[in-house]
Amino acid sequence: MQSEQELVKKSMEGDTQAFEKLVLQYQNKVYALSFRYMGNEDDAYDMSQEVFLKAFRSLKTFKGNSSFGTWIFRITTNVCLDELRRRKRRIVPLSLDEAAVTSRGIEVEREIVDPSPPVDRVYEQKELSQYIQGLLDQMKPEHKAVIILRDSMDLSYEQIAYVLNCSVGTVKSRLSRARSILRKQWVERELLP
Amino acid sequence: MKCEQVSELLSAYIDEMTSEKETKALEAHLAQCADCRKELDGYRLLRGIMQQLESPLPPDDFSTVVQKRLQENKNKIFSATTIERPKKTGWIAAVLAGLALASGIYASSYLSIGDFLVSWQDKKEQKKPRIAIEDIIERFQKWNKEEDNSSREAAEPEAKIASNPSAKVSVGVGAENTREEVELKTAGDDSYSSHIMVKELSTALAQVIGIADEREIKYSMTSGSYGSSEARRVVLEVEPQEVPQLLMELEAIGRKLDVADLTEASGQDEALQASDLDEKPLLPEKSEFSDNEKLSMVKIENNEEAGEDRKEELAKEKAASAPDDKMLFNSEKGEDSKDIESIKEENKPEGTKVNLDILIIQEK
Repeated sequence: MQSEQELVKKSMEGDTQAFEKLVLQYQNKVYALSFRYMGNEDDAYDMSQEVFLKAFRSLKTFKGNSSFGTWIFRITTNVCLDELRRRKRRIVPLSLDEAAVTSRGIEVEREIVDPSPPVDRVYEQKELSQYIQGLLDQMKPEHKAVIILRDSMDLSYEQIAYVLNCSVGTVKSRLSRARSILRKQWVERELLP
Repeated sequence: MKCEQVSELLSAYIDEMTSEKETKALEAHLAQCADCRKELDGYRLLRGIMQQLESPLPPDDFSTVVQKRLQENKNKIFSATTIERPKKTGWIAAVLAGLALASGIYASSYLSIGDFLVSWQDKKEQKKPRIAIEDIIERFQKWNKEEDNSSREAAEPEAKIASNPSAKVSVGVGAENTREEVELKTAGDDSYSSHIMVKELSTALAQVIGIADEREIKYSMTSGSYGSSEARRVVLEVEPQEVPQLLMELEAIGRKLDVADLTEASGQDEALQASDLDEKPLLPEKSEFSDNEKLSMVKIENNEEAGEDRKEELAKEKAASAPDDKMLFNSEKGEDSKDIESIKEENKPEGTKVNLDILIIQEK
């Protein structure tokens, strides 16, 4: 059994067999992370493929300052958020946590058309996942990312800071803001106390 | 501590990221505030649910598909740069090149740049080293043309060194030797460009320089602003065949901008219409760039419009096209060369290099 470091080193030298082992090691996590970002399996598949191809091409820039896992999460995040931003520009930009500005320049809360089922329903795990995914999909990409990286992928603040290329302080404040937005939506729907 | 302050800290608190002092104050407040406790429970529940969300698994053939695509790409990469075993004459020329290079280094270690230039000018008149080197270069170029259609298998290290003449020979005859004219390079036909939006300018620059140093690529850097964002322009002098790979590596540093981004980044409240883009270049509003650089930026915009795919195509076309006979340097060089130099001679091996123009923009 080769160590991860050895596999990375061999992959850097162009050994695709070694790289495939790294792919096998990380594909579930990368796929899960892509799925959280993109919200559906088709996109998750395409993005994850792109992530590994990009990782192989960019291995030379991997200096070992982070673990390979965190590095690949960084690529996943960049690939997915870029795609989300690209799409957002094509569609009408809308995010829940950005106050809409009226033509007279007055900030107003956006009215959200709530697609959720009646509040007294008991959620099945799968339904709940889908529902939460729906809420995440309406968030700003950077807020969505920080919640997913922390709560779904269980990364530390330092790791998130590396993945998002920002400071730990920024992670802290962004996470607080993102969670607050998400919590409010849940409270409004009486899903949380 | 007030409820609003507590509310802001609750997220960090559930992750045990509050300071000791904050934790004490927070807990004291929580002990007597039911509303804040409720909010805290909400955060904990939310985190718990997020942790337990179901995630799908990739299909069984996922890694096999990655592997297959890697192989396909690898073949593409290698077909762009032909690596061949040189013919017999090639070996002789390679040895000659090596000798010329060695003598160049030897000479430069004894002479100051000024002296060396004088002696180089003298030698130029005597035509001795010049003929040897130019002859070698010509031969290299001939092989490249002749053997373009032959097999591309033999990738032995020796063959690699010998068949990559410009990279090696340019060290000996390149930047240090001749200066005739100072001219700022504007992004011409032999330039590739990209806009990259980054979170932290300094980190990104360090990465760019890292990439350049790793490959011993010369670069120049200019600072300025793009719209209301701080920006740095880095021009790398690279071999055409390096362009696609380098672009990929460089663009991995931050977020590559496309046309829609450029309207955002230009710092205008109302984004320009798409039709505007065709007619007028998006120059930075508070530009600190010189006219020449502005000119380059116009070019950058145009290149961007060509789209990423087109750019890759272009890069490949460039890689295959005939070498340019011009080589110019910008000021503020990388550590290696201190002077502003330009070489305008025929058949210079470095003439095959192209400029890779990267604009790094600080994200707001």
